[in-house]
Amino acid sequence: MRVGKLGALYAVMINELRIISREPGGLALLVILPYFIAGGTAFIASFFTRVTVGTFTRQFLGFEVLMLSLIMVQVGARFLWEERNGGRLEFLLISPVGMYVILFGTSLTMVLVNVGAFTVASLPVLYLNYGFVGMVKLALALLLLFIGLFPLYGIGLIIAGLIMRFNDANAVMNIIAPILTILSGSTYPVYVLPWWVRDLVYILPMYQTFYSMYMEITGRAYVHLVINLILSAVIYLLLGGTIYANLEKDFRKKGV
Amino acid sequence: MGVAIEAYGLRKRFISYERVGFLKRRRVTIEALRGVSFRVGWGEVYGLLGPNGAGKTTTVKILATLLIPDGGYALVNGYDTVKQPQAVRRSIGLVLYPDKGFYSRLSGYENLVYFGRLYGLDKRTAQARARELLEIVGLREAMDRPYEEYSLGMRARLAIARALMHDPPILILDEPTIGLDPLSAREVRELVRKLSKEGKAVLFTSHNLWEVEEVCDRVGIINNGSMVIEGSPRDIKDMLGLKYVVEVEVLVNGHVEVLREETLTPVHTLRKLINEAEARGLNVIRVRINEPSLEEVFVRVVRSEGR
Ligand SMILES: Nc1ncnc2c1ncn2[C@@H]1O[C@H](COP(=O)(O)OP(=O)(O)O)[C@@H](O)[C@H]1O
Ligand SMILES: [Mg+2]
Repeated sequence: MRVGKLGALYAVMINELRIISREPGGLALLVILPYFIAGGTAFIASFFTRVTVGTFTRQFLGFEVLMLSLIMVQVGARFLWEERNGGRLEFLLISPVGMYVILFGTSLTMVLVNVGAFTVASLPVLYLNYGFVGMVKLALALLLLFIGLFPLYGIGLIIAGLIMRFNDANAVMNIIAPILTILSGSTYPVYVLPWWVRDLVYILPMYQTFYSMYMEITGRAYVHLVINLILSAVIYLLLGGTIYANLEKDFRKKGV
Repeated sequence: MGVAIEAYGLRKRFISYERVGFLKRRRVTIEALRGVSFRVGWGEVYGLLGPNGAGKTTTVKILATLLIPDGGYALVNGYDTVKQPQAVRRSIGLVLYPDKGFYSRLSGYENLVYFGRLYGLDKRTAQARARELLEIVGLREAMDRPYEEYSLGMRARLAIARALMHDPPILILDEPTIGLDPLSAREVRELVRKLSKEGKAVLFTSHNLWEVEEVCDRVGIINNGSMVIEGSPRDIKDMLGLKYVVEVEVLVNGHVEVLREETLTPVHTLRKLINEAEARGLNVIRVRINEPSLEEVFVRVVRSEGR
């Protein structure tokens, strides 16, 4: 059964890649854009190298985490919206695989594409600054990033459920993108925030992911951060799963 | 194995909002189903017949676990649609829209393989099954063309192929022939008949009477959320006391004359007319019995409902 779900996850991801690459300019979206963004980010962030390497790393990681957060939180919802308009949602809802796998697979596809670009763009910088150790650091950072995807997916589920239930994508999305950007806490120093916003930033997974990656790369103690992140993953997944399940049920009561 | 589909007193009410001003809206309750019951046996094609808005799609969605009924319950393959949705989903193949529901930029083949994988088939099996079904529904030639280029008839057949990917024992087809040209529609009906001969149970909705008459073993006529009458197309005609028209053409002094009579018992009347003719020493050229069509049934039933 578990292999079955994994097989389905793989099928979902390949299908998503196939669909995107067939859209006009889709291939560009998949291949060129992420590298362009990652490269651009590295370029901008490199101005900070004049300050310290730490600041550079901080900026670069911050942008990466922010991008992935936006993807992880929005892709599932946008996908649901499109599936609904295309008359496919009903068939996904009644497939034995289940919406969780389908939504995760779709989000993961976009994430992997972007992580690939960021990884390539960050390789030279890390190598120049940390040598071979930088590669190991990078591998560990990616692992942390992977864990960080799960709480983000939990939030993505809530938003997907809201969009399905309220039958609106644009309004919700337009609100969510700027809020996420502000609350990510990963592209500016958090201490400038009023305490109550800061606390909100701390309990959201964007900052947790960013901060543990940053600490890992700059070589400071971070085990408690990893534990935090894992806890966060469990909590947000439970929360997201429960809320999504309820919204889906509500949707099935109110009419598909 | 019992019955394939059992619905008991299904009720569904939708809340909708009517626009009555720039921002103002009025809440309206729509009684989509007011207690619908029916059964479909194995190897049977059951036709759910009704005008637009009668509640056919609502019934289909409840059976397919897409909607939760407000009252009543339904068992599909013996499983409760609300309490055991997963088991129900594995038992049914569904056709909802004849013209959409696939990825437009993927080919028919890619679409089928993908949906097969969502149903838990491994890649090889899904591919083999997709080829096999594309052959059966007559899309082998077009299998690698993108879905967006498919005609309506091709789309409808692809939708049926998808419903068959995981080889479910029950098929639920919501107006699978709507908008199709007569030839494509007939192909779809032939396919449905073939599948039921293999022992599958089929629920087939339509607002087209003669079509249901042609393909279905039993028919339920639904109107305004209630089952109005149920039985074989023949039974329904009998129940409503619809008359057959018996015509006997005879030759009278070199020209044709028609003896005509409306009746409930066509065989008896035919015999009577022929005997009369022969008693008068007339030659019978041709006899014809016109069955009442379900069309008439439908008009009567729906009218008497006051809709
Ligand atoms: N999601 C929904 N929200 C509000 N009203 C609905 C919804 N779905 C169906 N209805 C209404 O319920 C009634 C039955 O619809 P439906 O089952 O689609 O009819 P049919 O398929 O027989 O044409 C119609 O009046 C329709 O407008
Ligand atoms: Mg309908």
